[in-house]
Amino acid sequence: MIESNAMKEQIISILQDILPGEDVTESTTLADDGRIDSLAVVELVTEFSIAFDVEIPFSDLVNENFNSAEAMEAMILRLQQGT
Amino acid sequence: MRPGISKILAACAAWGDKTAFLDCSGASLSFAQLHELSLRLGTAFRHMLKGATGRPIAVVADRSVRCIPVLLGAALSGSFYVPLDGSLPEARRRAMLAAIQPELVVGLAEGTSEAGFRYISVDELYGTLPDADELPPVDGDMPLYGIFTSGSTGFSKLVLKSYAALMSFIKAYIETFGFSERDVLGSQIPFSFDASTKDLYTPLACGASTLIIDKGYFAQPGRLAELLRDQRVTSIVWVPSALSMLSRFGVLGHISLPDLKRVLFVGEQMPVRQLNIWREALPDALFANLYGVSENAGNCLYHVVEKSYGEDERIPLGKPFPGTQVLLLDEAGAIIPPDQPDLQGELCIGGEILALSYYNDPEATASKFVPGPPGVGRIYHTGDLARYDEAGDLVFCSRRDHQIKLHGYRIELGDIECAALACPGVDAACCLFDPGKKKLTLCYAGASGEAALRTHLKGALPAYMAPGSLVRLEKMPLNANGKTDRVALARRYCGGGDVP
Repeated sequence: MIESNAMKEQIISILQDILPGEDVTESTTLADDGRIDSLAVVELVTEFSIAFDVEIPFSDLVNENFNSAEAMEAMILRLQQGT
Repeated sequence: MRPGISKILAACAAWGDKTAFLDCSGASLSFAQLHELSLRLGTAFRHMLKGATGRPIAVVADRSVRCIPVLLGAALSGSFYVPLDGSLPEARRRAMLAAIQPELVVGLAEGTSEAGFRYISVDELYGTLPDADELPPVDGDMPLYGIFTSGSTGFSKLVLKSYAALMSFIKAYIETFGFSERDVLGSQIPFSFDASTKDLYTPLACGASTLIIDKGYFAQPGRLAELLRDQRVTSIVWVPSALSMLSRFGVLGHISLPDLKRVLFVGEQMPVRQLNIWREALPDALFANLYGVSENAGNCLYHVVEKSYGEDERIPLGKPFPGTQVLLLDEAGAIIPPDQPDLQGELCIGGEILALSYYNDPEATASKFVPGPPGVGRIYHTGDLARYDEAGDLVFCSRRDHQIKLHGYRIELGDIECAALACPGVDAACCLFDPGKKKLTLCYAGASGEAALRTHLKGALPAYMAPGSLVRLEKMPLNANGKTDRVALARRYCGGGDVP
């Protein structure tokens, strides 16, 4: 498993590629305000599966898990521990 | 003069308290309310425009029921409406407004404004008392609405369509698929796209209800499926990428949708892998592919899916809706008959559903809407190449400008993309050709590695079609209309701008 700090940096780097020019470090409403839309979710699921070897079930594809880099990290750690 | 929008609105008021539209905030409009509010807003627009007719009213639309009477009221006042997506970047909306110079911009939020244009929020309009006698008789052959073309070449034009054209399509659409007042339609497509007219006018014509689904649901597939189930949605017309949100994450296997009986797709090629998951989950539902262009009202072709397709096959575009003329013309302009399968030609559209014109652009109108072969009226050349199959269904081959020649072979870039999409782990594909270097480049998105994709393509394509280089992208770039941005890809990966 990747160390937590490194994981968050990697998540932020993935987010910066998918949402260029957006404040992905501080924002806590990335999904609620539509910046992470359906296309971005598909891309994130693919990138997270490659980077962190997790399969995200549809029950986790909800705004609460995608509003911030922290929320995404928490979800990924939870899924890694569950397997 | 043929009857216009006032006729159908007056007629649908007979459904009274039945729900016509509802949205995800819980708001709804009955048919009686829709009629009353549309008359109210129509009267208000009439006052504001001091009797001017035939001019655009721009409507900055969101996903709420409040938009509907604004659109219909604008049409009742003798203007035509131009729906603009409220989530568009401001600069793009400005450019659209500047291009059409609307009499009025109607928005849903108070306190905003559109620099240089007369802006009013819906709430400021409700105070007017409805007065049907003040509304002008509106000719069904005059423009009802305007839609911006997809602008895949970078330039977007406003296409005007009449009430008569749209209703001739809606009537054929309702008859073909058997919609009735018992149906609940789940609307995904923004009002700024022509494909949304099916969700908007089917209720008016047959008494069905439309649930306007918020964009946010499409990033949350589980909640989206629950919404469809709980609202007992019976029919959806979505773009394939929206349908794929429910099929690709296994939602359909967990949340059953017993009321959903029609699943229609439009706007882009439906990935067969996703369609197969849908058909397995809903074996009794009807699945159909719809095809149309911005230059016609509604759709011109449809194909009901009745068999399983392989992942490298294309679902046919099908046959014309009743009342629509679709011709396949060869390079000399002669009609290719349906009993001559495998002769490729350009799809050309005629008949009542054809658009009226490009707004304020007689030159483009004259060059794009041209007289058809003898006995056929005006036609529009779509730029899409197709052929008939053995069953007499039209099948898409490629865009005319995506057909290239390499080492003496004619190659459809779409065939290479199709083969790539059949490879596991490839979600999107775009093939580019650099005519200077004589080189094919395939850009793709998805988890598949380059080596695996190369092996797959080797087994699926003749050697001369194998792309010289593969580029894995984190995401496929899209243009403002949600289609693959080929220009941006070509600039970055293919050393030029004017590459197909």
